[in-house]
Amino acid sequence: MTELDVKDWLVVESLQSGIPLTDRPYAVLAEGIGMDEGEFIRRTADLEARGIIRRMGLRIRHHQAGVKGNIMVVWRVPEARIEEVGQLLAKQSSISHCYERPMHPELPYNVYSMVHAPDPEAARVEVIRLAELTGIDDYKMLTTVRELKKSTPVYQRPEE
Amino acid sequence: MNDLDSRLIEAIQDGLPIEARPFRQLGLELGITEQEVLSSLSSLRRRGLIRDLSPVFAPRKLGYTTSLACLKVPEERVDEAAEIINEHIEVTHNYLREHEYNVWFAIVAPGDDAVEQVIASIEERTGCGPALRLPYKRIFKLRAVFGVDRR
Repeated sequence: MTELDVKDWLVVESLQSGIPLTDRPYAVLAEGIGMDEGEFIRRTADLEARGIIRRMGLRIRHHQAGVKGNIMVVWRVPEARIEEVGQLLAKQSSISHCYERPMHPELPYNVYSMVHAPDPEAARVEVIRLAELTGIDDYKMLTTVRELKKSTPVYQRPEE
Repeated sequence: MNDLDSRLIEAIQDGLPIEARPFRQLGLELGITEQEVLSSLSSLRRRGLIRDLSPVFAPRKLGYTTSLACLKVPEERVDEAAEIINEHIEVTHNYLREHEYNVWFAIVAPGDDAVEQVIASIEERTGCGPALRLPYKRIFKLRAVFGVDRR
């Protein structure tokens, strides 16, 4: 784990409240924690350079923004092909997330992917294309029935 | 969503510049003013098309562990179980899916033990365990941004 000092944590906690839509947003956040704007920006840039901040991102609402065909697809890939199949899936623009996860007897799949398309039918067509592309025919589409919760993780400085 | 909105969202998805006037910088890239950037974003937020602008952190580098777990919940108990699961602030996402293991939730907690405590608490309180634990072994791709549908 990368060491964060107390001031880094103040910046991390402050950024989680969101970047205000104003001309000098970092100045507003900095003021809230009694830091000057320059130091706040330097620390934020440093957190990004160290890979602690992946990106200053925009969170869009996928449903409203048109990504309605999201399907989680799980694949059963022979051990020797996991790396190759994982990399091949990762290259596809329709896939946002792809992980290797442990196989369970009750759930015998080891590669997990999130497939995105404009609508559910297009997503199913895309999954069939991916199956042909990888040659993996043992897979399951875990279609979302309902979103039960969606929130942002909360990161806090560990207690001493 | 108009063409400018789409271009703006695409530009920001590459990352908001970390500098004193980030929206002016974005505007320069798009050939519009800082004020136009800010009013477009405010409007997108008002219309519920975007949630907010905030950093995406690498959980492990902050000492946090992430995991995924799923649970087999009888249909008539889904709402009740969801309420118990969602009470845990460490649970960031929870979905009902078409499978025998129908309730799938993601956890972000300060360390491996904390993740296990959350799952154990959910198993105990819902009575629907055991949950299958699915922490990742390898990341092939992780991208939280998608092309914006321009239709």
